[in-house]
Amino acid sequence: MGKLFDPALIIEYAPLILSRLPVTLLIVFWAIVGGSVLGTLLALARIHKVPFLNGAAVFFISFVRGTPILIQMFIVYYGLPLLLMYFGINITRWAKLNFVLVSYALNNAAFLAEIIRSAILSVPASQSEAAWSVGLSASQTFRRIILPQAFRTAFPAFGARVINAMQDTALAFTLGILDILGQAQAIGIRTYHTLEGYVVTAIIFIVASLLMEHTFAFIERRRLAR
Amino acid sequence: MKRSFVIGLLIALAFVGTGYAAPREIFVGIGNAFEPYAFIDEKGEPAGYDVAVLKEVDARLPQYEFKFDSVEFTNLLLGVDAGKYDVVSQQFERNPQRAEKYLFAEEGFANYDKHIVVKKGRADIKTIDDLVGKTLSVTNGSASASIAQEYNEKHDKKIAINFDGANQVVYDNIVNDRIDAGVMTRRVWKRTNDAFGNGLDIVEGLYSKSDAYFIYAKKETQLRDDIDAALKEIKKDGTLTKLSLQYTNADWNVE
Amino acid sequence: MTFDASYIWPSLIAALQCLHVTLILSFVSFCVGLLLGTPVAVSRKFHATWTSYALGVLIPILKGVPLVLYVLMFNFAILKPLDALSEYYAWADGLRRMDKIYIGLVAMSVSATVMISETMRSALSSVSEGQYEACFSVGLTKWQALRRVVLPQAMVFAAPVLCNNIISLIKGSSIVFVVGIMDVLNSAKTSAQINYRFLEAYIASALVYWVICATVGRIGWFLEKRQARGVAKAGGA
Repeated sequence: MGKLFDPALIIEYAPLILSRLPVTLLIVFWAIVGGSVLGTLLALARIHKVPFLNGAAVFFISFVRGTPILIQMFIVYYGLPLLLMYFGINITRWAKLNFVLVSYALNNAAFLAEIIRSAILSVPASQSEAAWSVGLSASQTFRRIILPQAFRTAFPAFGARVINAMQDTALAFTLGILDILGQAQAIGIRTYHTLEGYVVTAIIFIVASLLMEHTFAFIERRRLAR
Repeated sequence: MKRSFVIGLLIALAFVGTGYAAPREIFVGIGNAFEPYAFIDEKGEPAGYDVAVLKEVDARLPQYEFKFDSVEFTNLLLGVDAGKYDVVSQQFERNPQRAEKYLFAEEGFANYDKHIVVKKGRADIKTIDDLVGKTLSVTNGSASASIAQEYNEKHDKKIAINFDGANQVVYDNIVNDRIDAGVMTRRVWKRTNDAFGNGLDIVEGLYSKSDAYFIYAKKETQLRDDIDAALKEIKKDGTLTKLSLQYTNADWNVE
Repeated sequence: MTFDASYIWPSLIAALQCLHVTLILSFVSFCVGLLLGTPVAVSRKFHATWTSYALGVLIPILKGVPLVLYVLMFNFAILKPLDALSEYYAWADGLRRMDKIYIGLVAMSVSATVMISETMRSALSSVSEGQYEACFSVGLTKWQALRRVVLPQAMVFAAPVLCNNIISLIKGSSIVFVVGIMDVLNSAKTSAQINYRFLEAYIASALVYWVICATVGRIGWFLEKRQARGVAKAGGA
């Protein structure tokens, strides 16, 4: 006979859930890396108001930010094969994990685009004016003067996005991917004790976010000191 | 050189002659949210009664090879629509609207009769009519929910439908008088009581009666007939009973 | 795929019936988060007193907790004591049957506060040092400097990220189904109960969320433009 909430189970479930951490980290890694690359491109398109791309970026960002990730995952999982079918490529039996990675990367790209845009815009105009007056080209200015400063400004928001991305991975379980939250849910279904599994994942998230906080603060202090 | 070629050719022809053909791969979608029927075990593999029955069927049908994939409930049916799965299972109940969209098996393979469950010691709720004016907890998207909804549409006095969440929350709600009743199969009721502390009573009258069926893509009538035939076989020779007792502690055609 | 667009309409109607739940959960928790999160951010940034150290430890921990756990935790944390007290007090008995939306509000407000305090902290650091120095050189006190000079500028920098935050809240609010609260997404799913038309239900709820979020995005954009008048920006164009 069990209890409604059994703390001993937390210790029992911990190893199994921890074994799934690599999957979560893999998803977060590709989501952030892929999202950053695409997000920077989107941010630049928005800032410079490039004719067609600006409108497309606005639409994409609006849609991806405005709809639940679940829908986006469904669109990628069911829609992408349909789209590629027209070109004769059949990826219906492609690994589910790839679909998950693509949808999370696209999702994070939209959010990161806004963070990057805000950070770039927060660098004072005097910086780029000074750079141009010294003779740096536009891309040099961007790379050497604006980007490092924007990077420093964006750090906290970027860190928050990484943590959020980690929590968003919860939905991977609907496609059967076993990351840490998925494993917690699977255990909850098997044993009826969902709460204890979630507590384990919360502890993992807390440790991960603390580690990231300190790493970011460390980098900020040592490398980006004013 | 020529002789070994002829011998090789004869062997190949012999194979063809015996009718050896590679088995067709069947993609099976299994739900991941319903213990003990369709869930994920400690090794991360699809497991449960539904899986065991299908593995047994696979063993008896050499022309097919089943590949199991575990996804959430809504993705099972969407997967059938999108051609990702040929057959899916998570204790599906049949009703006319669903049969319109999907191909159901003819043979059921488990009993899915449901009862009302209430807090221990409570005697005022015996039938669905007693639920009028009280709150009932059902799972969003389930057949139990649609039965309650249809009841409300046909009657003036309504049942207050509350859509439940995590198991622990539902149990806590009923045992602490926040919700008046829930709907479960007898086996799930036993498991819930075992897990949380024996606070629920089951009402003997039936809430709904059904069997559980596999669902197929509309065009897979041959696959459906083959699996139905295999199901008939394993029912007759007692294997289904054995599997049912192993996974659900009750015979397949009994509650 | 067997997709029937005519089923989107009934799902849409079902989804809109619970629209007020989603809106209340997201906007109220956003406001609470802003009201409580800004002082937290100010305290942390300026290393005010022991509170800033305490918060410096607490906020990173709380940031890592997923919203679903907040909701479940508060559900039991609020209701269990009330259950115990209800044997002695009638008011406790009445309270413990409260509409679960209040629990959802508390949980989401806590999550929002943590999230927004981080946003404001980032915004405060992007106000250039020169501003603070100029304020003090003119003789403004710390409070005056904050209120009149720093916070208005910080809000401009914070606006896009705050937009992100409120949109996260709107979409994240659907997790409250774990304690039985019905919002837009779950209400749309109920329409698919009888006939299994889930894809149409998801699309209907996506449309509702998109309209809400796009509107919020628009409002945020207007506010940003208005507040940014007179603030020079870098980045080209």
